[in-house]
Amino acid sequence: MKNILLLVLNMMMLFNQAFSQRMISGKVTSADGNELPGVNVILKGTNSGTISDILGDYTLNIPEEGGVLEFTYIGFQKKEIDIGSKSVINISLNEDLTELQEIVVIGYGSQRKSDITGAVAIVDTDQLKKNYSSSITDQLQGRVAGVSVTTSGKPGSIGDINIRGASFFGGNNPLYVIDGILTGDNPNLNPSDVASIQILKDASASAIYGSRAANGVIIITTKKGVKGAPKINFNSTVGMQRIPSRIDLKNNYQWAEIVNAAHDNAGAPRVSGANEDFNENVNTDWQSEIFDNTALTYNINLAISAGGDNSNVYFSVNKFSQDGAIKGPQFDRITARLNSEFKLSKKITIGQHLTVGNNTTNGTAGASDGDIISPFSAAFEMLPVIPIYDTTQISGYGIGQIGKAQTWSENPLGVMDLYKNFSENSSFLGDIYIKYQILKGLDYRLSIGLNGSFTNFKGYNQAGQIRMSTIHFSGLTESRNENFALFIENRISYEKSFGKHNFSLMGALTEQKGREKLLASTSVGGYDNETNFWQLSNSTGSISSSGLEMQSAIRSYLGRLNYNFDQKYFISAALRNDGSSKFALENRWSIFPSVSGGWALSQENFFNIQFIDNLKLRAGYGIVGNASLGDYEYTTNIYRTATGSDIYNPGVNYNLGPTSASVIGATRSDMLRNADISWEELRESNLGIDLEILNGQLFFTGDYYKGQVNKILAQVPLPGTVGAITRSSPSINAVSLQRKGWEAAISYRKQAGIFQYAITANVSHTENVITELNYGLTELVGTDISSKTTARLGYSVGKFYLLDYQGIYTAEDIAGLPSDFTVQGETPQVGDAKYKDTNGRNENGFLTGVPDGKISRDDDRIITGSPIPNLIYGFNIDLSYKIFDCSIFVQGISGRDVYNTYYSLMTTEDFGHFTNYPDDYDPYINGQGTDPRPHFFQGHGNNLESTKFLENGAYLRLKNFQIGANIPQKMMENLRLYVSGQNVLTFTNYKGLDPEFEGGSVFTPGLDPRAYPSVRTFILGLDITF
Amino acid sequence: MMWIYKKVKIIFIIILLLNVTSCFELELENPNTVSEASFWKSENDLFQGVIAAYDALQLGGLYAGNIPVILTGLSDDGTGESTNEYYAPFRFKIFNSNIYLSEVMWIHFYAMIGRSYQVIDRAVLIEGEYVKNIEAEAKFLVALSYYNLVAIYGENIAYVDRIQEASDFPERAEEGELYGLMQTLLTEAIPELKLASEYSEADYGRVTKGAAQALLAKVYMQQQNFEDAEPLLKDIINSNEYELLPAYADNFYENNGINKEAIFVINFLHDGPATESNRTTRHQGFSPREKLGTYGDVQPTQFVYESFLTELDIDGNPDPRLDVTLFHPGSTELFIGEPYSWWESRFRNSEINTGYFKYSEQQFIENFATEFDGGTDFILIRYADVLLLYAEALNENGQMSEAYAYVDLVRQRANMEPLSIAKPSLDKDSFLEQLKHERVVELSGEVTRFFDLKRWGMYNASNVERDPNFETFVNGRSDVQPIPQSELDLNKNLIQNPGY
Repeated sequence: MKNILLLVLNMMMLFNQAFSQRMISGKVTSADGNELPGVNVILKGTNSGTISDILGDYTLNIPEEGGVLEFTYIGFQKKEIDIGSKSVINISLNEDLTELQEIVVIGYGSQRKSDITGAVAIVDTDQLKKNYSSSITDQLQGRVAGVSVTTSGKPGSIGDINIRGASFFGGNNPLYVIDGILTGDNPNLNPSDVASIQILKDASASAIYGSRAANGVIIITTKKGVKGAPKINFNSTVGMQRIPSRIDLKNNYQWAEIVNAAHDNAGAPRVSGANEDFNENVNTDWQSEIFDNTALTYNINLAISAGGDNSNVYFSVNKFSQDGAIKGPQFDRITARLNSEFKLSKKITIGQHLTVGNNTTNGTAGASDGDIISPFSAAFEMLPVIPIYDTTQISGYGIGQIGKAQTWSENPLGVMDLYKNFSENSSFLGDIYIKYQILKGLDYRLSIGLNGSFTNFKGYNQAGQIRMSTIHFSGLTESRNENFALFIENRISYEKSFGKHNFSLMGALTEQKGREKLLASTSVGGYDNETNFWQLSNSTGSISSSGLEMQSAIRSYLGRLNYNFDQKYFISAALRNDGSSKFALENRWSIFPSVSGGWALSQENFFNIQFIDNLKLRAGYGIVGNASLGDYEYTTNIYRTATGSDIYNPGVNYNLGPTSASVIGATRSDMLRNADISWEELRESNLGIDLEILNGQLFFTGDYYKGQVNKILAQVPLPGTVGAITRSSPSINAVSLQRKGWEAAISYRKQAGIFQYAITANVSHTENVITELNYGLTELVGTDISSKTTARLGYSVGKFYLLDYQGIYTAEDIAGLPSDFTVQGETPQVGDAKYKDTNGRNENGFLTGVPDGKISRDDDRIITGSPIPNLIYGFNIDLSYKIFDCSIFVQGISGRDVYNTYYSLMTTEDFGHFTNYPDDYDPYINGQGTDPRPHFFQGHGNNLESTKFLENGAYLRLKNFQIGANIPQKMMENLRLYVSGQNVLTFTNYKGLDPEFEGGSVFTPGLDPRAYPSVRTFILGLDITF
Repeated sequence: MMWIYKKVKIIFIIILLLNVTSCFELELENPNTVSEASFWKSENDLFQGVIAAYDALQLGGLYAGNIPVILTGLSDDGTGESTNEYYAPFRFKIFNSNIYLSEVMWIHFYAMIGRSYQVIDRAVLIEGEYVKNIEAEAKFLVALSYYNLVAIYGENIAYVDRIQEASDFPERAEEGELYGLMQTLLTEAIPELKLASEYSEADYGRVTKGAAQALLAKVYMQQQNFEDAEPLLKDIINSNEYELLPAYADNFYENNGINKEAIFVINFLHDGPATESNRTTRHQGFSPREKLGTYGDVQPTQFVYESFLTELDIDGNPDPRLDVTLFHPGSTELFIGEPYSWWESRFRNSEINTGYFKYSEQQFIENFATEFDGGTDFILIRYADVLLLYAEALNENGQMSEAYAYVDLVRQRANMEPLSIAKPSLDKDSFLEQLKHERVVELSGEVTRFFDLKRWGMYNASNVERDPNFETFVNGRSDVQPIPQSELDLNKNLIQNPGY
């Protein structure tokens, strides 16, 4: 009976529909404002329904009297709305727990996550925000499999990032795409403005970015206004930072004993500072003078989001401030953003994104100011027997003195007092776009974007003396850097489904032009020590100026086809043709193709494993490019500059006439260029699997990749006979390497009543090996005897290249040596460093590979160690119980060797230069000790680069924890308080300051540069929404 | 709403058209500097090119720094006990052939050759009044580079006789080939070059006909070819272009005037910016030991000091050149602000109690607390050298009696008794021995002894009598330096010298 009634009702409705209908329309979006295409909109209890289009818009005929609309969309929670008398219903859907259904921006369009066929990481931006940093790059550390980030504690610093390892020699920064604007530099973004981040890791996914994609692509989409009444979010954090680590050092007595032994062993006269001039009361602890400091940091963020039927707007303003954990530098940033969108008509939408920002960095940076030493090096190069302040010195700072206590290190406190640096950067980044729906499914989009950055730098110093034997002049340097890029993108896209065949096509023409201008002026001398007006016009010294202007342009044609059959079989193909002004006409254009496919095995009828919700296999292949070079680098220039850096690398001029008037000369630049240079390329295959089980609670994704990186631009050293005064090393496409690796990420989330928890973990491995070195090369670095690393055929880039240290010689060892055995030309003694004899030379000077009874700093080095981590991992737990939540994030690397440059600096004597010594250094003195005899001469066998300084550089770090509570109250929508800690605990065997460091270059990944270490931070935070 | 829609459509079409027509240019000219392909058009370009070749003389690896130190250290008029690994060659103790100083010296000589060939190879395409002269100057600089390279590394070095590109890996020279090249270049250059007096004063320092003749004579004499050398030297003397200065010391003092004794001079400038490299740091290696601003890498051997003591001048005083050349126990002047008594206890090498005073840049020391740069011009070919060479050539060619007069010119300027009176009846061999002595007291510290020893067949282990560093000299190996290992690594066409 019931059924019959229903049937009748249904029929009545159908009748009504046919005879008394009206239209309802609206837009379906996700909670974060993205338009949702393909949403099923059904009039509840009927068969009447439709699907939202690409812009999330729908229209539907409904009965005059209304009814209930039911919105369903895979991956989102179902929603029902009573129509009433409304004719427009805009709705936002909340995401379902299942991850596969998110809409993902993949570059020049978007795709459902379930349709993706390449290696695309979708970053959980909520988790990122827990890492306290001014930079979105730093926040990515440890969060994404295959993405390696190394951070530093320097205020305002931006971490070093690479995706799937470092494969190129001229920089491995990924391409950033921010709301469609392409930039190679780290974006100056407020992390709170970021709505989503997608990382395109493999060549098939990134090929749509063609020539700029070989280092991977990070796509950042910023927030949009959400429909509804204005929502205001206020977030404020304040914290304290401190450098947590120290190296234990010797005291003044111990120092004097070692220094005396070093001189005695060398037969050199002792220095007075360790003898008659020794003052037992001077025992300076330079580390605590520099590092014992607590710095304040805070972040204040205000965001307003609002939206109506035809428009939405997002506004934010942010202030971030970070004092130095040592005295200077200090970083401040203000950014503001406005994103808005207006729907002019059903078919036309216009919108914009804009962010403006201003950064200032004040104080001595230390690490990057030419001759001025980094405090993190000076702390170990200064001596305990030198007082901080010494009134007998010109400027009143304690310094090294020849014959007494020699060190060439600057007094770091003197550097901090006398040297001032100020830099200010103002930037804007934004675009204006218009979208036009030509036909249903066929859309055109035009956007014009600008990216500008303007930097002012000013650095000055008083005259004085803060270093042995060196009186420095006063000085002032000012520079201006103007960097500007214009983008135009025309894109047309078409979507169509026939039955179970779903197509989407995209084509675009993009253009970009960039311009950079540099101006710099330096005055050497010219200021007295009372000067308060540090301006170039006030200088009485000589002023030199320089200026440069660079231009570049790129034009690209690109297209992509996505096809799937019944959500089971997926295929995607892309093609991009790029032309760049950086190459000569013959090599200017290049084509970058890719293809990838996927098979959703779990959608097959025969698939009947109950607990697996989704199982998809993916495979892809692509060719992408890179260009590690600057503008105009395909033509050799004429060098006509009067001044250079020093007498080994001067300008070209000569003095003619008895009064020696300078005449400017002209010669080809030492930088010989090569017109044949062309794009570097990566050809990579990727295999992946996505697995979702236990009703979406457990999600696993894994990828394996293997690629060939070809035509890598390397600075190929040429013989001196080419005629350059410094070693000419033109960029040549000379190297190939193979890279391969794997990545895995797993997440598990569970809700048990009021207790929720989520665990995510990721791990990745990458490796490379040089497969080809052209141009007669046998090695890329390592020619120099002081090189500690090399890059050779058959080895990975940046392997250590060191003498093989075997301890110290005992009396028995010495007795067993042949009489003509030498180490660096001298007969070894008891207590001297013992190295393995691995090689020798024949009469023509060629290496024989046969030990020759002579240890040579040059010839007996071995290729060893693994500076590239075997595994990089991150592990995160989120817990919540009622109003409380807690998260713990651990990150680390393993299987990596590092060269402890602190120890090598301190325990191998440099010519005329002492340092302090580490506390566990135990040199062989008076028949005791396990480390080599101290010896004062540079180049002595005991002072060489060796495996003695290789250490295990693995670490595991409690990167972040956060404990928070959402305070129940009625005044506002949300009130949250939290405490957080960063770099709280580190587990490592490395004896240097910090196992987390950037190695300086791709060739020296394992050499500790003694730079700003990580800082430990504790933070209090408040988050309010109303 | 329709009207809006239509308008927008029109605007759209306009935007599209704008867009398609506004393609950015991909062929961009470098606005900062001229490219090699568009330079080298005029005589002035060529002149700038040869200035760049001259500039190479002032490089740190050459005469502004290393050459005087290294070539003095490698011969018996200088010895070094520097603990610095760089100076290991002085002790002929080479345990790796990639010594930095040697590498820089090699690179900088080839840079002078490369810069010169940029001029020589393009001169044929450019017309102008002075093109031939400029080309000849460049040829001289190539020959000068090879003259040094062959003496230092031997003839087994890279043969470069044109502009090099990145793809060039030159072959090593055959025996005699480089001497042939030097002779050809200089022979071609001599007729094209002006006499010193034909240049304007503002051009003082450029290569003259006399300089090219002197260098060619030296090239011949290093090959024991005294017959061809003699007329060249005679021509220089007869040209009346040059004369000995009345005061020996004025050659080593920056007086900013034209020096008629200088046949080829490198103009240094003290008060220019250091980065222009027209200052010199050569003095820093020559102090008795390291002190502020100096490094004490090379000291005169006792043999040099004693050479001055063998003969008193006409007035019964020590040879006046001693005080100019050496800082010695009898010196009354200050050396880097300190008297001899201060230095006495501080000599790095206890066997030696003198330091080189010549070119020690005393006039430019302003501040004893910091490093200082020198500015004294470096006379590479001095008329006194030519006079003594001419005497040597005459003697070798059996005209000893004529040779006396030229030695006496040099001796008399130094207030020494004429040789014709002091030692009137020397035979050919003893005359040569006397010349060897004359060259030591006249030219020590001026980078001539290294070439002299080679010419006289004396560059061997027997020098240990005069320079203890020769104790480790291995005959047949140490007479040439090893080719820098980096150069062997980068150019497979080269091979190492025997024994290294």
